[in-house]
Amino acid sequence: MGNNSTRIILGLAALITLLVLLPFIFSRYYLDLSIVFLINLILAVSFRLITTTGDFSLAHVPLMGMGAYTGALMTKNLGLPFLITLPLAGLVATMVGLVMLYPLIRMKEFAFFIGSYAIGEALRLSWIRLSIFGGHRGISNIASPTISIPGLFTTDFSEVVPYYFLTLVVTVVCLLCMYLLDRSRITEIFKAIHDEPELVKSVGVNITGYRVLAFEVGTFFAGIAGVLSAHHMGHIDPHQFELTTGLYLLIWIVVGGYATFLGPIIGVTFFAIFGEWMRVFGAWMPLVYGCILVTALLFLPDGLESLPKRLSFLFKKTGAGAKS
Amino acid sequence: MSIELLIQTFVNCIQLSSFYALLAIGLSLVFGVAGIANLAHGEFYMLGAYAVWWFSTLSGLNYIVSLLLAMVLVGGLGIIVEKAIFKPLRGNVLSVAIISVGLLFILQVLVGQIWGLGFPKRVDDPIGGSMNIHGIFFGYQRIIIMSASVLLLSLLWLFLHRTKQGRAIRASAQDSEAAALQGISANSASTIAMGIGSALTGAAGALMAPISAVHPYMGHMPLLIALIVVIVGGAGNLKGTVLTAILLGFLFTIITTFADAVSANIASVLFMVVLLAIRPGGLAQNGE
Amino acid sequence: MSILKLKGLRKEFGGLVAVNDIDLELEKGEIRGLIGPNGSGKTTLFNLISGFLTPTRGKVIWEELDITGKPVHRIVKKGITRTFQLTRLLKNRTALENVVIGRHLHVGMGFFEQIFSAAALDEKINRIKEKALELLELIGIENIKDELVGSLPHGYQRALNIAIALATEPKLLLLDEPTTGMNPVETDKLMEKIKMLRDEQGITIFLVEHDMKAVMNNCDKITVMSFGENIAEGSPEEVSSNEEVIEAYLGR
Repeated sequence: MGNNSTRIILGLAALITLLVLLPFIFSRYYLDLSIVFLINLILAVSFRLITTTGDFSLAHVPLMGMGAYTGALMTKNLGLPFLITLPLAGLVATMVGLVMLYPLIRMKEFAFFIGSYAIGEALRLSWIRLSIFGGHRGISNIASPTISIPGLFTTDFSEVVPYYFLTLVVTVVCLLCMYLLDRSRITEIFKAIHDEPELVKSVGVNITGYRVLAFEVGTFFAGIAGVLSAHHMGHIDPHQFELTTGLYLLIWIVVGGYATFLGPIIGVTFFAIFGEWMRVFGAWMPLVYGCILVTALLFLPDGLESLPKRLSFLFKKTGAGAKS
Repeated sequence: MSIELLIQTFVNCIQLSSFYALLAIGLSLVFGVAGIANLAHGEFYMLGAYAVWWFSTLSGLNYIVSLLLAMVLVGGLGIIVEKAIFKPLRGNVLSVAIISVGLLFILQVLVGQIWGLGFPKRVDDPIGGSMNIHGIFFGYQRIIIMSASVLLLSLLWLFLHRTKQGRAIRASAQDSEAAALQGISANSASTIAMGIGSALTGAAGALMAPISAVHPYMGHMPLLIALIVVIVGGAGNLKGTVLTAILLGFLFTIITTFADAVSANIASVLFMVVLLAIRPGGLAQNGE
Repeated sequence: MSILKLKGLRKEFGGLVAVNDIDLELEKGEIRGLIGPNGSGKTTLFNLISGFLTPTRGKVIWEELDITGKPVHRIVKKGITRTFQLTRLLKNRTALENVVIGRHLHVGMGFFEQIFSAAALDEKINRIKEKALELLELIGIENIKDELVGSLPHGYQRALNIAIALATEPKLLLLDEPTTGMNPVETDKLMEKIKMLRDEQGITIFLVEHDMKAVMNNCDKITVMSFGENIAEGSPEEVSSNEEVIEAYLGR
């Protein structure tokens, strides 16, 4: 037990050291990509959190957009500081999510999937329809965040390197929170709800309540990812949060696996690396994504995270000379 | 508000409703019989349009012949897709839906790369223009769409209710074991449904081709519409599909006429949400 | 003292009447058997009492409180727990872990406590596990506590379901065919345990069973259902000699 913990801590330390040193290794281009990578990590892990109860939400990306719009509007129109807009965006996303849940939580499985798309799309269309959100063009010239503690210091994050560190810190905190939740009893209940809802109901679990909880927690972090994205790009518009983005998110999760906390991280990493190689494909990228998805679902339905188990099983079989 | 506007709106409603019915019936059939939620439905529609462009505009074949060829082609693709990627996952609706997303991307990009992403393709109407009766416009292509929809839906009804295979397929939607005893396996029912459903969807695309912009992403809205109609009308339920298509066609036309298209989209989408929420348990597979 | 009263309870599914205006009263501490031919509505009745289904008409009164149509988890909190005809267990988890889930209402930890306070958590989890083990011992299946439920023999699985139900600390236990798949020895053992639960813990038991011997020998009173109706109620002797009851069973 002690050995395992030590290994995990050492591994994490190495990883964090690497991530901290990145700005000194990577060029500006790759650093930019890394920021996007980190934001996608928050998005993917929070999406997977919701799937632990069995709900696949295509409203996740639109709700990220709600966080983005909130952050953008708060910064531009109200001049609120970043330290306030960050959690506020998460909160607003959560509140909008709660309104969505009113009809949505009555749906299960496939109906929830389609319903979440519909309701997310309604939200997105409302950004186009209502002038405060800037219509099709969205909101531009979003200032970089500034963090100031009066009397102590003021830091500007308009440069890539500082923004990278800001994103890194926020990502680590978010992932840590979600990790703690994942190891807790509450996630045990989430999974039980997915596996045997009737049994779990019969011992007094408020299934609806827990589904709402999972959805809201995931949505909060999606909102945070949204703000980070808004400041990073400096510009947001409704097309960034279209169905296609949500489908890509779905593909990361399905290919990486969603049985454990690590799955979505593997998925995002795989596509971050692969995505760079895939630049060559240019306009063929979505097709490659589609092929990867189809292949994964047909041959590795439990995702990349299940590879070690599968491979070790294969080795065990051949090692023992077992007959097929 | 003139009487002409009212009548024109009414005519437009009917035309749109008939199109919606044809568009949705393929998905309804496939989802109701085989439990396949094919989210690449819009791409099958798109392929029907491209097929008719290829045969009619590029190769100079007669429009009706092109339409029939489009149906055969898209129907055939449906059967291949069913056997290759849907069959292994059949049983888990969500998995099938997700794998169809992959298909969606593949088809969109293939078509876009092979035939270009520039200007939408133009397909010539077999009979151009429209007729004008007392200031009300009846586009000829729209009349063709209406007639073809009614014809194809009637043929489908006849097939499902008056032929042995059709009845067996309906039985399969209710109880695949009982149907298997009658000589139709769940596999064949699924394949046949997918073949017919895809062909009908390809027909919808082919019929709309002369009056819409033919491009690789043209399937997005049709998918949404088909989903709404199937969800609300009941999968596998022919009557329900037609009724919902009418309801939605009227809703959409009226809002577009008196407000704007974006609002119409919002209304349609909310319509789906409300009905999904009311229906207990969401999407239940119904037989006919 | 009647702890459960069903008044004019009715459940319709479209045109089908599954439960037809049933009146029934259970005394506290009673072991009541519910028998009847297949399809007579016994499980539907259980579903109505426990909140899994909402009645078309009628009332369910529990401890003088109207609980008709309340959500399942609230009814469980009030003290009514049911088991299922078909075994339902959380797969890929051990027997002990399954019983731990049953302790859900008695965990005594707040949301943030569960996530952030590791030490208090460990202690409480250990206490839950101890209690879960006690429950397994109560049923007599503690030997399989670390086995994955998928590998358990059917009889053990059924017993495990009862242990899970007991974990909720019910006042009324609705057991739906608990002895299915058990041999006579196991059945007798289970029936003894059920009687003990009533004797030592005062739990009221409502029991659907097809095993006539078990029902006749262990129940204080028996209710007979046929076609959704309550056609007879009385002691085992009274019921077994009742003409209508015999006809209901033979006329199948």
